Amino acid sequence: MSSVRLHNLSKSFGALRALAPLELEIHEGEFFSLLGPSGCGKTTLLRMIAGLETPSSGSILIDNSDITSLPPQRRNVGIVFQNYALFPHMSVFENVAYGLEAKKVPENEVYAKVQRILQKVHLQEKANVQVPLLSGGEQQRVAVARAVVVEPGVLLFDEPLSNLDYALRLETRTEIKRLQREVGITTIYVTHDQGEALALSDRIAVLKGGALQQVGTPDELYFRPGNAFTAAFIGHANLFSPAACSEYFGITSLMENESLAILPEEILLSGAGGKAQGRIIDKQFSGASVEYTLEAAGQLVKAVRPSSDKGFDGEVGGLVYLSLNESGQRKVRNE
Amino acid sequence: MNSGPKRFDNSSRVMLSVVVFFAAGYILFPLYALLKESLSSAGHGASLQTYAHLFRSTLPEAAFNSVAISILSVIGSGIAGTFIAYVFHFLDFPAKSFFSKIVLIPLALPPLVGVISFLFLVGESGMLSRILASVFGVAPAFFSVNGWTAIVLVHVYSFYVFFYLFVSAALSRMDGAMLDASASLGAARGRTIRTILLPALTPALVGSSLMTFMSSMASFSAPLLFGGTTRFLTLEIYTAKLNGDNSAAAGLAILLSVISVCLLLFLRWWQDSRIRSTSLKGVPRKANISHGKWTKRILLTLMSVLLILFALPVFTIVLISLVKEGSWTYQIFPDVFSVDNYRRFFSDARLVEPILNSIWMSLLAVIIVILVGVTAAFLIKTERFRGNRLLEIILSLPYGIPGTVIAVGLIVTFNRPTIFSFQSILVGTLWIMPIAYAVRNLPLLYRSAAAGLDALDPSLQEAAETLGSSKGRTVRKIILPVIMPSVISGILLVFINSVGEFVSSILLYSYGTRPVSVEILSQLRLFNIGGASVYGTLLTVLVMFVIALSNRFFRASFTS
Repeated sequence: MSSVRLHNLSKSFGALRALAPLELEIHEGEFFSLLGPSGCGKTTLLRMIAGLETPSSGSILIDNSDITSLPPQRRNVGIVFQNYALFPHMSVFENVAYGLEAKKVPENEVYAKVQRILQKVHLQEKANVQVPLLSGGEQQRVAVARAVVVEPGVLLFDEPLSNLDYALRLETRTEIKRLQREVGITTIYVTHDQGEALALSDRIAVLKGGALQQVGTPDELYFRPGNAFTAAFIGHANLFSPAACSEYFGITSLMENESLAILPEEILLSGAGGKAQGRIIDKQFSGASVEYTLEAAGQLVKAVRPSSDKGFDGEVGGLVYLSLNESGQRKVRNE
Repeated sequence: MNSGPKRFDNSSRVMLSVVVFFAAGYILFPLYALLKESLSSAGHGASLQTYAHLFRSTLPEAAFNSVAISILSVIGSGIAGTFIAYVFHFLDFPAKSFFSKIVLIPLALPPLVGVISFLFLVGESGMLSRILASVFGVAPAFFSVNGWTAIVLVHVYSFYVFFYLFVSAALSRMDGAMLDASASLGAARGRTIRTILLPALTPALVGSSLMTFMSSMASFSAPLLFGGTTRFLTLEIYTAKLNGDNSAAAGLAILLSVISVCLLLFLRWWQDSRIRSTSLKGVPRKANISHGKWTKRILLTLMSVLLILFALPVFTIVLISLVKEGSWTYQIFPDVFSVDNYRRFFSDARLVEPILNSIWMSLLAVIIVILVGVTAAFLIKTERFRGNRLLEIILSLPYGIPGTVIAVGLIVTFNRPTIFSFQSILVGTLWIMPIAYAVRNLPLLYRSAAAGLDALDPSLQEAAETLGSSKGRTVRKIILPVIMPSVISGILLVFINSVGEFVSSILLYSYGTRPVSVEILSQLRLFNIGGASVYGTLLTVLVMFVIALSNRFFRASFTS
């Protein structure tokens, strides 16, 4: 178990700046996510930690020793690739044993360790199967087992669930979390799926266009977003301009470069009475909740109501009155 | 292919110098020597006299003929190859997998063997000519073909495979949903073929057309045996060399290579400039077009005729090798069969020698090609160094250069001591032919190895590194095993090409190292038909054996 510190770390590919200099500290045993839309630099950051990409500036410290110039072989960092990168000409056992053999671990010990980890990922039965014959979910578990078995100080995941279908994705992310908790390994997890990041992480770093936006616990990011991007990306918050706020909700305390971020579940709807009027242009029932798309304040507004709440039931095309939950009024900086 | 930190270490430097030595000494230097030779005339230093002379004499006619025969070959091969690919893809018929092997026979048949089997089949006393003549009651000469018709026939037979393979590949890559969409939007079959299928096949058709054109331009055996007095560029080079006019041979060789290399570069540029097909989600469905009962019957009948024609040359050459010497004179069909030809062959060491020569010279060529080609692919694809693109182009050059030109280039280079031959004269030694085979086949193995490395997911190497694997271990345990199938298939192809090589052998051989192909020609010249057909049969069997071996190997490597 190790801690990771990134100091002034940046990366450019020619003229293209992939990552602006940033500072990050990841604690021992933490499950830390790098979250952002594609092209935000999160994978580049991960690859630099693994030693697969050379930083343009800055340093990487693991347990306070500088590893910036070490080759991948000597970093003790494991990585699970997006496409798993399993060795196609080897069996499950050979794949998992590869790293131990490279480290010249005695043969009987290799056998014991591989068996133990395969048991943990429920693949002991498949030890001798060639990996191309496995299902996607099984391949994913082999990739995790292969990275974990060498007991790296830090375990990296590069969008490990993106090749799985929805149901399997939910199941596998629970598995990853369980394994991480059992092994207690420091984990850095790259994803563009905010739901995944919120569910798995102890802390999350939000990135956009190569720049760090905010670092915090899922709760902090969700309820106290640092800027408009984080608010919209993490909580799908509605953003209202100062003009719309004063005209619509009578809120006049916003600065010129600020927006009011309101989460969809914090918008209250009623059939009659109120100042802020809107029109329902779409309504989607998704079991636990009902999602309304409204046209209000000259823009599209998302509102979510629990479907058990029978107090309001608007129809598409109908008029509706919006009001804001007092606690939910947070001002955010536009970037 | 990946941007990870890499160090160019000493072992890489040694490997690079081997590759550069070969590329400079045996590809670039001979071309330079050719150019120099073509510009030297009777000791006056550099002059364009040779070219001026060539343009005034036979060159325009030979160039016109070469281009014309190439265009005809492209048209014929295109129709035959595309048709067969279409039928194989869209129609179902019994024993399809067996027939799909028959279709590839011309690929395996050494060019010279293909040509002589055509001679035995449709030449003046050819078997098919005799049979047809007796059926229709006319003189055999009526059905025999020679000159242009024969050359185009042989070319179509040898080169339609390009179209068949390219078009088949394009068809199987194509997403069948496109054709279904067209049909469901109300387009008739003809319209779907014209507006959807053909545009999707254009890259394949252009690619195979250029390949066929280049191969026809470089073709030597067919014009030699069927051309009579008609002039073709390759024949002119050969004749000039035989007449001892090295500068004319060199001048012609330069002109022919310029045409071929320009076409090759155009092909590369065209392929690179195409937008790569967008990768769609999900598994593409097999492309499908429905045919009526009668259309299907007509198509299948046509194809059966073609398939029989494809199998006939091999059948003929085997049959003729079994005919008792002197027993087949006026009969339509030979009636006395024996294994006399084979018995005589195996009892005479001088007759077996050419086969052994071909085998060991091909093995030597394979070793050279592995040393240079695989090493080069490895360096160019996994290490980044300045000039790697240039090196790649140089290594691919021989692909566009006709065998005749390569041979003449080697002759004018190595008929005197050079530093690349360690100050010895190579012409006339046992080294010159393996080197020629190696130069000719280098692009082939380079490209199979490079394709294997391209297909190799770079994250495999990265995964190995993060697991603590050293560079050597990663190469040994991950990279080599993964690219092995494509490298082995390349090696087998190199062997097949070399063992029947004729075009440069005929210019380079000496009696002690004469290969099978040259011996076949001399048997023909002595009117020893039995002997020639025995060689042809044995060569074909050898090649088929190697192919069977490779099939077995691949099946094993995929199912293990």
